[in-house]
Amino acid sequence: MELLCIRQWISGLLPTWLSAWCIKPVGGALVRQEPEYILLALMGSPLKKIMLCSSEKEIFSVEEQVMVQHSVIINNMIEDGSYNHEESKIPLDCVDSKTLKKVIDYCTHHTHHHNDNQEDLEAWDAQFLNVDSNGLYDLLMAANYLEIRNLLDLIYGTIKNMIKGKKIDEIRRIFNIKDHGFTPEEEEQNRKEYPHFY
Amino acid sequence: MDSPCDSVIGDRDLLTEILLRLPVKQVIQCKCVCKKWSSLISNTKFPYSHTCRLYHKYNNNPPPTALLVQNFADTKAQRASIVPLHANDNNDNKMFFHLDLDGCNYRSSIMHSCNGLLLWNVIPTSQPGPTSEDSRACHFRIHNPAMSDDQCVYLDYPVGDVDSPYGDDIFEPFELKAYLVFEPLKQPLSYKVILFGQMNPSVIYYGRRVGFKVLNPRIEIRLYSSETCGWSEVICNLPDGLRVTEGVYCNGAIHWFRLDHDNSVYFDTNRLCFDKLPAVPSVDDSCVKYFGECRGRLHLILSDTLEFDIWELEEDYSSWVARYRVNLNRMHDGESALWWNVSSNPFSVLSFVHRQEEEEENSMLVLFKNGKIMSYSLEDYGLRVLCKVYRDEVPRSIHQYFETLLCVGNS
Repeated sequence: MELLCIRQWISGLLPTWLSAWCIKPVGGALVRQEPEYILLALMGSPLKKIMLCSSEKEIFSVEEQVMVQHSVIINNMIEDGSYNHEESKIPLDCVDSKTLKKVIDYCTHHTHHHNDNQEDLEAWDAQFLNVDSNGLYDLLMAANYLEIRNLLDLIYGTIKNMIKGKKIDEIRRIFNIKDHGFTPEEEEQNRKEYPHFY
Repeated sequence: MDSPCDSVIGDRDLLTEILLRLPVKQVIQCKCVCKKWSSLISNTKFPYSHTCRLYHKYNNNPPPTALLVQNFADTKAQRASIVPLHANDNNDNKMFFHLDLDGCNYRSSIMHSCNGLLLWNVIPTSQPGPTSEDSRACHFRIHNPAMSDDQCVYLDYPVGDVDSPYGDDIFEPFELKAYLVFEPLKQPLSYKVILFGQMNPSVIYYGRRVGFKVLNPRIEIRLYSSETCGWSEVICNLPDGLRVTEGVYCNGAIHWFRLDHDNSVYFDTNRLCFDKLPAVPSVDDSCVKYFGECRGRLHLILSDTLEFDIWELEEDYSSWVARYRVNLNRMHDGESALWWNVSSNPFSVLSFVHRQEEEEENSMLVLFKNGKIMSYSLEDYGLRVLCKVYRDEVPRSIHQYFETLLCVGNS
């Protein structure tokens, strides 16, 4: 039976309060560990984990399989052998802890729930992206850096919906564009030619 | 430190990715948002990347977003009404397309719409005065109406019969049909204009010694290619009995359908020759109710009743297949069922727009009756009025249109 199935089977058996107790120190930081991992570690068959280090020097431990499936950058690092499981961690200096945790959440959910039906996944995605706009842009930059295709498509789709049906003044407000850079004549010309955009 | 928002839109690659995913109308809107966005969009690579993405999404055949209907009786207005095909497009649109012309001295009409570009025919109605700057003879104009009018190609009419002693007269057929061949995915951008002219019979007198030459009524074909920047005459075998009537352009060929004598032909603009279309399996009491094109396929409706089939020509031109069954007795306006008043004028079919299963919108027929243009959904039988023209005669000049970012300028 595949390791992933064992893990899911165990997690199904355990009560949820148990996860609150499963904390272990890793690399000088405290990391929340899902109980099934601890059990598996106790059983002597740990799943391969990798360490990601945020810009705030916080370490996150995550299943290698999860990150390799979603992030092209991490997949390449592991394949070309530049990552050593025993000691090294992957430094992600342009991603802060809050964003990195969200990214890991996304990848983990999509790996573990990839057999779910489309509607459930979409509902989860919608809930996942229910963040303020700064959080959204941070996620976009992180997903771009890590090259996570499906998260990128999801965020671009959300931004597209933010712009849809809006007038130009609203779009300028949404993107914090204070100075549009057109001369008064150019702005006048635009307003004359496309009055329905304003 | 920059806010995350500033970092994202300050990054050229990320901003490009965001803009590439927007529909064309929104990209044009974003051109007006700020100078930086405008220069990114006008950069030569962006329109092409955007077009490639859009075409890829629709399997190289994007659906039309509107129909262009010319108001012929309204000669002063000289414009084409834009009839949006979908409800959510109604509020933020221009109402008309027209050229910026001195209306008193010129008459203009749309000859053809191809992949977002329009081909206009511009004819002076009187002798242009010596002082008018825009004093040109008959010519064609090609432009992208969604973008500003700066980039517009002017094409003078080709020269007439070079053997005629009237020398430099322009090509002046009795009946003229013109088509624009524009394939946007080819780089570098190029286009062709094909003219079919029904020439008058005429007699040319060469002088007492030589005598007369009689030119019979005939069809002449002229081709303009943007690659050669010149007109040429196309010499090929013409099918018997070919008349210059409104043809249907599809996939690089112009098609004419005739029910009698198995006489349906098409002209291939690459091979520059005529070929035959396959015959339709014969139906009783058939008449050509509709012959048109949508998204790279030809469609035909042969029956005048309320229940009929829509025939589609196979991609390899091997045969016609009855692809859709339409029953106009089943229709509703969203609230209650509707019935045709069959004793009055029959309806006319202006267009058939088909959508694939994956797409959100339904396949629809665009019908005209009693001065109203309506869309009838083939999936949910809903009838929706698109626009009212307040005229009883069927609009003759209908063109399918969708916006594009690409422009062909005078280079």
